Amino acid sequence: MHTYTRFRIRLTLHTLAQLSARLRSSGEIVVLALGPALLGLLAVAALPPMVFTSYPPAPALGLLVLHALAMSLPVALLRPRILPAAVQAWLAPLPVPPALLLRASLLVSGLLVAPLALAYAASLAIWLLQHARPAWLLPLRAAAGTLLSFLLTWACACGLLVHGALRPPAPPRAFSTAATAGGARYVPQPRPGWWFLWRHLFWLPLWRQGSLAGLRQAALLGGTVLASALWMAGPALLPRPAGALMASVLLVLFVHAADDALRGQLARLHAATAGLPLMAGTLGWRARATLLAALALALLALTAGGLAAGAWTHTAGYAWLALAWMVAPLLVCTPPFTPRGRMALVALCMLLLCATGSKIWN
Amino acid sequence: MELDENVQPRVEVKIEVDALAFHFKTRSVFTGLDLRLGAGLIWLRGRNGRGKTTLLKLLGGALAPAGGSIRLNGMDSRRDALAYRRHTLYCGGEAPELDWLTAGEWLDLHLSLYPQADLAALQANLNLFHIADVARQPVGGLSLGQYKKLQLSLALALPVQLLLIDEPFNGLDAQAVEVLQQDLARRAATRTSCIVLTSHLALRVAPTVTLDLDAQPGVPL
Repeated sequence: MHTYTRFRIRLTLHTLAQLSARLRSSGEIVVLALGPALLGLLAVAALPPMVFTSYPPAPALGLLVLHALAMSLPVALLRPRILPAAVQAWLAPLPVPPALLLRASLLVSGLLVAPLALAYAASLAIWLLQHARPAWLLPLRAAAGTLLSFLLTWACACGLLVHGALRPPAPPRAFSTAATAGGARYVPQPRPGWWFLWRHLFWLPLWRQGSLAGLRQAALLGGTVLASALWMAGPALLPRPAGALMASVLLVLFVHAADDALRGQLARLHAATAGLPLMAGTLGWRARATLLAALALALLALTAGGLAAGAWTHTAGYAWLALAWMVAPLLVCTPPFTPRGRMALVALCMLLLCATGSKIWN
Repeated sequence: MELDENVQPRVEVKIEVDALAFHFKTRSVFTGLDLRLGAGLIWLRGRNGRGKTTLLKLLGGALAPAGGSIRLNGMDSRRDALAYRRHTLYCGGEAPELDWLTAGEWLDLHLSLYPQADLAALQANLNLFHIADVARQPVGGLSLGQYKKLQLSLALALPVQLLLIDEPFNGLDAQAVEVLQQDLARRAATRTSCIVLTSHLALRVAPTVTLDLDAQPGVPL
């Protein structure tokens, strides 16, 4: 095998090993909580292409192509990890013959879509080998349609990787349109105090250099507020326990995401500010205190909303409120221990909040 | 060389390095290094991999010694870390730190951490290095030379007693090298602080002391 192909495969295996190491830490918890749902998903993995093949040829083909494109989305999302910018920078100018590039990309994309092939095979077996098959299910067409969809997904994944390997990484983008204008002379505006430091070290990185941390937290906060409002309002279409479930899960996810981003940034700052007159320990505790203060504001609003809706009048209400106020300090101040321990803590918080929240209007 | 009329008096700067030890995972860099440095311009020399950058980072408080001690006018780099770092600055590294900031924000952040900085000198340095107009550009988007000039503009405006400059001439254009040489010559003459710099190129400014790590006890071969 050519050295280039071997390198690309090794890079992919390294990325997959990293991903599986991350999943392994929370694997048991996910399997425990979502095991039956995951089994169900596996059983219906090949259902869409099988259903599409029961349609007339023209719409069936169109739907199969769309499905194949959708199934290659994970490869598009994984591409920045499989071809990191630093690797891309020296890979793109290499004089690699097109045939070799295509061969390497085919093998790498094959590795990535192999789990999908297994899922399709299992799903096909479940549907085709059952005694009472649905009338619309034509075995030969279903198998051919699924195979076609899989091959299209593979081709699409291969195309994505070829494009990634040929494209040089984008230069750093300006943070705003004003930055591109240039010519702005520097006027010193240093300010003493914690807020100035916090803005520069913790707030701005959430929104710059393509970071999605700020958007993710904003979306989770918005979701929490919306779910809580719906839960308190209790519209006819949404049963109260469902509202409690949504609000509880989103609240814990929001706190977890905010804390996760803070921990990541503190680790990043540890090296970046090593020589500056800043003490890492003090910086960490002040940043955590600021995060807790911000979370307390959100919880205050939630408490006030619940008070107006009469949610905190019984034991379940008091228990939910107390738990909701405990979640933030618990997640923010607990040492990370292990990723598995962290996931267990997050799952436990969700479970307790869901259990008590669903009892409030019961 | 002519000195400014209002030349500042020489100040006492005493750096004491005793039995300094530092190890990377794969090798030892220092095993009992002793140094005594004072005000002036110190040219730190040595072959690649002898630990010049590591020594600068240790002196700047950016790395913690595995053993021994570093003191600046009696302040210990570990015990009095915050006070120590307020009087030192490590200026080096070609990959920008805090690269989510614009150049202006990067300068403001450092100015807020060193409140005694000379703002007029900073503005003058930015003008001399021709980078006064990069304030809104992301630090990560600056060229190697521009980032080096940004670092030097700041470093030369801070009232630190110990300034550590790693390969200051790398990536600088001829005009900027001239500006820097003049500034270093002035500082070497006035001896108001201790400047330790590394350079593989011969200095046009006469250093106060030349420190050769290749010939220094406590630096393993």
